[in-house]
Amino acid sequence: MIAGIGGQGVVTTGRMIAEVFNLKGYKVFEAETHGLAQRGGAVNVHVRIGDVNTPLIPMGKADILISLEATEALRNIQFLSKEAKIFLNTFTKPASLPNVKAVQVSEVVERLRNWQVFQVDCEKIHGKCNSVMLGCLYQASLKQYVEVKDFLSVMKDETNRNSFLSGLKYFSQAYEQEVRV
Amino acid sequence: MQVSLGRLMIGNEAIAYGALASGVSVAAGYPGTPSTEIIETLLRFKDIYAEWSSNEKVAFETAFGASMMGARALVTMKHVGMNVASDSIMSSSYSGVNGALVIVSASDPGMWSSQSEQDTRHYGLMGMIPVIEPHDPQSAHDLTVEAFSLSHKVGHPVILLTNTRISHVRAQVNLIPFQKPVYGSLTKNPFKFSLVPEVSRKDREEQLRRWERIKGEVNRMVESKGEGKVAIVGVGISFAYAKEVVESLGLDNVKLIKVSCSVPLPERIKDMLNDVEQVLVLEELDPIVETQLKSLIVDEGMSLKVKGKSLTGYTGEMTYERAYEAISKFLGLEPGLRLNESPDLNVPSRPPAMCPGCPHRSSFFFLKKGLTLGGLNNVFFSGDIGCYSLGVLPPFNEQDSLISMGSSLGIANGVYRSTKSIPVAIIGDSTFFHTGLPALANAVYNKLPVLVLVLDNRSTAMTGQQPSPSTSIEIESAAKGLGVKYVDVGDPFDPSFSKVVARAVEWVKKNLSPAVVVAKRACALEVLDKVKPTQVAVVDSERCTGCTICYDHFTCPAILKLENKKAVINQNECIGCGACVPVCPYKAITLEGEKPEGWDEAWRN
Repeated sequence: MIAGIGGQGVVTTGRMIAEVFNLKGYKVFEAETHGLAQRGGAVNVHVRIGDVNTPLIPMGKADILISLEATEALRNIQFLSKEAKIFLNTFTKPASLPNVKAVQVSEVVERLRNWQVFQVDCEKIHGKCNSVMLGCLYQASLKQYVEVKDFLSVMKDETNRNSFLSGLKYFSQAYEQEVRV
Repeated sequence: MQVSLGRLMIGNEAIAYGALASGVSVAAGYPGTPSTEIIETLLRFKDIYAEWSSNEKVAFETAFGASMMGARALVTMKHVGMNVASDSIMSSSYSGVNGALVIVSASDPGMWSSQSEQDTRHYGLMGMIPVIEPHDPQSAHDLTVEAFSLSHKVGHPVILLTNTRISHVRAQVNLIPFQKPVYGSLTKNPFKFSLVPEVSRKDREEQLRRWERIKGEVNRMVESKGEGKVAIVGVGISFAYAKEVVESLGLDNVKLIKVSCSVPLPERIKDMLNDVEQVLVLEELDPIVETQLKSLIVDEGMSLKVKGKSLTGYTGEMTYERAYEAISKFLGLEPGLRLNESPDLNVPSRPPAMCPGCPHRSSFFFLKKGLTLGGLNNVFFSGDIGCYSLGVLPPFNEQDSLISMGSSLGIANGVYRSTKSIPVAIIGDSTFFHTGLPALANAVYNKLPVLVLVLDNRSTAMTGQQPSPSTSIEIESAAKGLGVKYVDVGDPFDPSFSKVVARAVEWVKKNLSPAVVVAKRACALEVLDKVKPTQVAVVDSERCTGCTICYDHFTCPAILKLENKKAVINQNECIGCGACVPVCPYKAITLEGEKPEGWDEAWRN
């Protein structure tokens, strides 16, 4: 499951994962959100890989959540399996409405305490956040299915490719120990 | 490793390619989520004619007219677009078609991007038009070809019904090879197509005869698998969910029936229900198949129980959970698999917002000021469909009603006639040409005192910036041509826009007739497509008093509130449009950087 705010590249992130697995000959279903729902609103994209026939992830069945904005992770916890991994961009943004307060990242992390959460400070890691997160996802969970060059081949430009590699590097430095355990 | 899973594409592309595999030569549509990408895909093919029409009725008539000449024609729209086109759609079922005519209607159960989730299949029942329902992008492709072939064979329009979770789902699709486009030749047949009563009476008989033929043809669009005393009928995408639930529960004593044509329900289904005692129908929205099935069972004197909407409910899209719950209840199973209840998320809502640089935000901001200046207080804002519908949200609250495309002026008329309170009608440029024109003619003709604000950003922005007739026709000229006496134009980024509004209000009050003000500035997304911004807005924290106006009353997503209540601009989101500069009463916001070449021109066009 990819979550975030319309305009952050949520749909593109889902599409890149779908394209990579398509390259490798896996069956994929990816449900996108277009139109009005895309403009600065809460967006999620369902990606299902393998022997599936329907586009939406059943409640409690998502293995992975990538949240490009931290609060949006909370909006999607009903989809998470008990063993789900969460890749959390430690950035929050309040809705563009009067008199709203941003939820603190620490509060989000606290509410996600039942899951394995990888906090990623995208702003500190050079590049485009969605590709950085894909780099982290690759390093943590996708290595056995696809290769780095597959991801690089579905990315449109150099910025995306460099961001992906930065994310990958960041993750192996920050979390590799934890993953091995 | 598997091979030949097909090309990865969204359902709408699969439908477009299905049309190309059927020899489509003329395609028309009006953008509407989730239907838009079908025409967008077809526009890339130069050997066929494809267009964005000004509304769905015109689009339908374009395709219908082409089919009269023997062409293979396609028209696309979202479910509510069917309402706009329905007058001519109903007639097409009487006359029938030559060539082929396929109507793609894209539904939006759950209302992700729509004002309603009405069930398009009622049009099929009402107009005697077959409705074909795919269940994924691959079947959307294959059934588009089936729809063309059925339409061509019987000489009748056919509806292909898709939805958000088919049209906007990306999956692998194996494509059928494209066919050379089949155009028409000039053909006249007034005794078929000129629906004067004499012709219509004859056409009606023909229509009923074709309907009988269609009933025979669609019998191939029902399939069954498995054996059992109970059956589950899955219609369209509900079939896919039913299959997934049946497989995950390992139910081997259930007969699973796939219905790919919901109107008319293939009568062959009765053969599949011979030994069945109970049947559950899973379908989205209204009980269209359920009702037809019940009727068929009575007609045939069969004896079996039929369940459907009483277990699935009417509203929202089909999901695994809904299918699971309905099937469990139907079979009297203990819910063995515990589903996560939707928890109390307690997350602040995040509705969509107008983009940074959106001219509508400035229009709403200065409209309010202008109305106060012009002495119009407590005014009814009659809204319309477009990105500016977001004006319904705080802090603007400038969309008191928002009913359907082009409804702002008609509703405003009713508001005035019943209250004598002068309303404001707010309508976008694409919507203005879609269905605003007849309502404006009415306002002139019946002398409606109204301020009409046309938000002209030169595109159909909400569905992805398709072009609008406003790129070829000046709205001012159209309004003048319709006899509007007071027409003015302003730039919503310029604070004097409030004076433009105020002057128009004063005129309306004095003359008790409609005045049109055009707020002219391009969609920010269009501008960003043309020119890369090189400026950003910055806040001088010395000057900023923390008055809250920019982030609480203007609410550009790029303006953030600091702990000390002062404002700060997020440099990643700011596009340097400068719209916030005149909003600050303390002149604390300025633009930094060099203005890019072609910047002002891009905002004007």
